[in-house]
Amino acid sequence: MSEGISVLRAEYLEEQRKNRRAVTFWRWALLLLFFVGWEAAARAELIDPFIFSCPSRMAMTLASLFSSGELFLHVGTSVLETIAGFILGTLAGTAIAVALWWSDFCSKVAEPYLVVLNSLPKTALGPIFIVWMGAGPGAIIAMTLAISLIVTILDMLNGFLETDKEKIRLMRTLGASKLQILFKLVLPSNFATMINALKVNVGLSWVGVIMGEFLVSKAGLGYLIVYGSQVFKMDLVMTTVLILALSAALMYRCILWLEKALKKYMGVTV
Amino acid sequence: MIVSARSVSLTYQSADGEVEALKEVSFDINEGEFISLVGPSGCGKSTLLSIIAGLERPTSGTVYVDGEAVTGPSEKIGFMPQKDQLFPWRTIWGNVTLGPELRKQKDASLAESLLERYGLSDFKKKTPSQLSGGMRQRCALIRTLATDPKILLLDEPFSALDYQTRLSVSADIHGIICNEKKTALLVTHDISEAVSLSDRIVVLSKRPGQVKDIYDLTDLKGLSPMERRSDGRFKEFFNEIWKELDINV
Repeated sequence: MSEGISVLRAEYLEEQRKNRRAVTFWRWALLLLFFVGWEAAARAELIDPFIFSCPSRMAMTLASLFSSGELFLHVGTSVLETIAGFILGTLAGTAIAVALWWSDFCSKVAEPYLVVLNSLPKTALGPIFIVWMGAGPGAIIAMTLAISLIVTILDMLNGFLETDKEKIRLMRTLGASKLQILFKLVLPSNFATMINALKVNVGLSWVGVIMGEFLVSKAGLGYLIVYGSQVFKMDLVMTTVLILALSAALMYRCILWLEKALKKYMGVTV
Repeated sequence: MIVSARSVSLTYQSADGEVEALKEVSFDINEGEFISLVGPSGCGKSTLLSIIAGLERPTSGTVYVDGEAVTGPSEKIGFMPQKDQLFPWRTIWGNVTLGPELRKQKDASLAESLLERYGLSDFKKKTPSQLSGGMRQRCALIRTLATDPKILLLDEPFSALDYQTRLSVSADIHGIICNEKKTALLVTHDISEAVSLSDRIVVLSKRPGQVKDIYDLTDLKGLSPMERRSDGRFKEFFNEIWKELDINV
C-alpha cells in the first residue's frame, strides 16, 4: 500500500474493501441461487415448468425471440414509448408547475383539480384514451402522460414554493424581475427536485406503458406478457418480465448517468 | 440626511384581523453613519428594513432616500440578508457579479477591484462551500457593494455564525463598510453587537414598533469594535439599552 498511511487506516481501508467485496459476492450469489434453485425445482418436478416455467426454457424462448428479430421490435417499441412519455411528462409537468408558481391565483384555482386528479387511478382513463386516440402508441403515450404528469406538477411546484424567501428578498433588492428570479434562482435551486422528478418519472412511465400495452397494442413488452398469458405460454411471459426488469433498470442507470453529467456541466456541487 | 423615515406606519391585514406592526416611526440617517436598529423580537425591525428597501409599502408615512420618496427597489440601496445567501451553484465570481448581471450592466470592474482589495481574487473560481464562514460573509458584502449602493441595509447578517466567528466577522464587515465610506443600517437583536459597531442606536418598542429612544455613541467614536467592548462605557450603554428593551421572559 502507499506510504504515509497509518496501520490503523490501512486496516480500516482493508476492512472496507472486504466488506464491499462480500456485498458484491452475495448479490450475485443470491441471483445465481435463485435461478439454479428454480431450474432444479422444475427438473425434480417440484413445480410444473408448464405453469412456472424455468430458466432453461426461458433461455430457449429468449434465443428464438432474438433470432426471429421479435425481441428488438418489442423492446424497441416499449422503450420508445417510455422515453416519449417520460420526456413529455417531465417537460409538460415542469412547464405547468412554472405557470402555477408564477400566478398565485391560477395555483389556487387549480388546487382542487390537482388533488382530485392525483388521487384518481389513472388506469380508469385508459379506455377513454383508446376511444379518442385509437388503438396505437398515441393512446399508450397518453396513458403514460396521465400517470406521470400530475405527480411531476405537484413535486416541482412544491420545490418551487420552498425556494428560500431570504434569497428571493435578496434578488428583489438587486432589482431582479420575476423572470430573472425564476431563471436565476428558482430553477437552479430546484435542480435536485428536477433530478428527483426524472427518477420518479422513469418508473411511472414504465407503469404507464405496460398498462397501456395491456389494454391495447400490437407490439411491446406489455403486449407479449398479455399475449403469452392468453395462449398459456408461461415461458414467454416469464422471459418478457425478465427483459422488462433489465430494460427498466438500464434506463434508470441512464438517468443516474445523466444526473452526473448535468452536475458536472452545471458545476453544481451540492 | 441620506435616509429619512417620516411617520412610517404599517398595518397588516389578515384573515384573523389586523396587526399593527409599525406606528409612526420617524428617524434620520446622515451620510456615512453606521446606525443600528434594536428591539424585542417581533417589533417590526425587519419589516422596517423591507420598507426602506422598497420591498414593502407602508400603510402611511414615507421614507426618503437621498431626497426621493421610496416606491420600489432602488440602485441606491444595497441589502445584506440573514446568513450569506450565496448561491451554491455559482462560483464566487458568479455570486459577486449577480447584481450587475441582473441590472444588465456589462461593467464588473467594481466587483473585480473589491475582490482584489479584500483578498478574495484567488477564490474567484471557487464555490461558496469551499470558503470559510468569514470569507463567505465578505463575499456576501462584496456582492452587495458591487452595484455601488449608497446605503447598506443589513438584516441580522451575523445571526447564523457562532459567537467567536461573529465577533471577528462583524468587526471585519464594519471595517470594510467604513473603508468604503458607506452609510449602513444594521438590524440586530444583539445589544453588544449594536454598541460595538454603531454611531447611533435606534431602539424600537414592542409591537407596534415605535421609536423609543435614540442613543448617541459619539463618545466611543474612533474606537474599534474590539476596543469598544473592553471600554468602561460599553457596559453602561448595554445596561441602559437592555432596560429600555424591557424584555420579560
